[in-house]
Amino acid sequence: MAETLSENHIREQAFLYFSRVLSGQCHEMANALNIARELCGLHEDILPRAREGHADAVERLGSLAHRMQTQIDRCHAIVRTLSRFAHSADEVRLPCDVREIIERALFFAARQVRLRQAELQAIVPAGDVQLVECNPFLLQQAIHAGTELLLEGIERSRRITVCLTPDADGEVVTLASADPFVCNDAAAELLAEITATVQAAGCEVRETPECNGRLKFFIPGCRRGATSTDSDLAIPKGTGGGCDVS
Amino acid sequence: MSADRVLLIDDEMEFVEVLAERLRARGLEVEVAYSGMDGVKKSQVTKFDAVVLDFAMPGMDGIDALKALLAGTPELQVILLTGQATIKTAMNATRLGAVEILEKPTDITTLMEKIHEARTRHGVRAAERVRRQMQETR
Repeated sequence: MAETLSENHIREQAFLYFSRVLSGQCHEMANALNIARELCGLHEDILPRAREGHADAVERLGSLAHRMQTQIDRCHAIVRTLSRFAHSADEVRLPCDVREIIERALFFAARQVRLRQAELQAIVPAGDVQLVECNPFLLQQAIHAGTELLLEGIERSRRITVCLTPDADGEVVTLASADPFVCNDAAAELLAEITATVQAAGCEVRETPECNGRLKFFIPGCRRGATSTDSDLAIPKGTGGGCDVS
Repeated sequence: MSADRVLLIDDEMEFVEVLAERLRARGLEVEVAYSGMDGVKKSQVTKFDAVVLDFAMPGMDGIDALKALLAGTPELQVILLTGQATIKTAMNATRLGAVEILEKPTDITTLMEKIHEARTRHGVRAAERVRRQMQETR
């Protein structure tokens, strides 16, 4: 089925993914702004007592400023990630930082995962960044869809682990859950979409989750030991190494 | 006259805590719940004049919570306070029994007015229910 999906279909799916990311992140930003707005309201409520010199009120104003800053930082992280995401659509197939791709994909997937009361954990090796050659936008889309696939097919597990491991000629991204995967119709359809997306990204699906609950993508390598880029995305990270979630 | 008693249900903990503090400072009795399920449980233990309910929440979402709240207490006044207010959401929530749909951000004065109106309606509906029950037992 994967081979029969047309280029137009891939484009449509990419557009849908872009829209869903945008919509989800708009809600996340709105949540942060709503909190900031209420904090401003609380600031106004407390201000008259602070002006009268009540020490407790003055102290509370200080803590409110810190809490507002937290929400502003939350919005900045979203804007920064969205901006990088939007630019990733410019790049058809380029050497890119696979860790950034994974972290960005999981940053966006986190909202849906949270709404389904599950958890995401990223396990990426520390040290030099692995450069791979692929379409970063489509790979993000495939990783995001991979988390949805596991949520669709697993009944009990509340944790999905995404890990990155080096391979002889590139890198392997593994999405896994400790629980058995049931390939229902919706999951089968999603898996076909993912396979087509991964291929269009210039990568390869190495394992599908029907057997052991793991979805593996191979991304061809470019070169190793390039400049490291710090990432500040809020995805819980493991210590690196293996990808054993059983 | 006792204070309006309100239950706030929202998974954004910081939002709900700050809003609760602001409403308490205006004389309301406020309880908070961070999930639809928790909110439904609290509504079964305590009588509230109004419930202010978020729409998008993990697990039991706002619509499911609305159904469960009204199944337990049909005259309960549920105000949907959401950042995802679409016409479809509003129509669905109204059809299911929500008395108000407010879009975040909402001014605190407006929210206070809606809660107070809800309390008045709640009193009227509860009195109607008692009257009906009395007629049925005659």
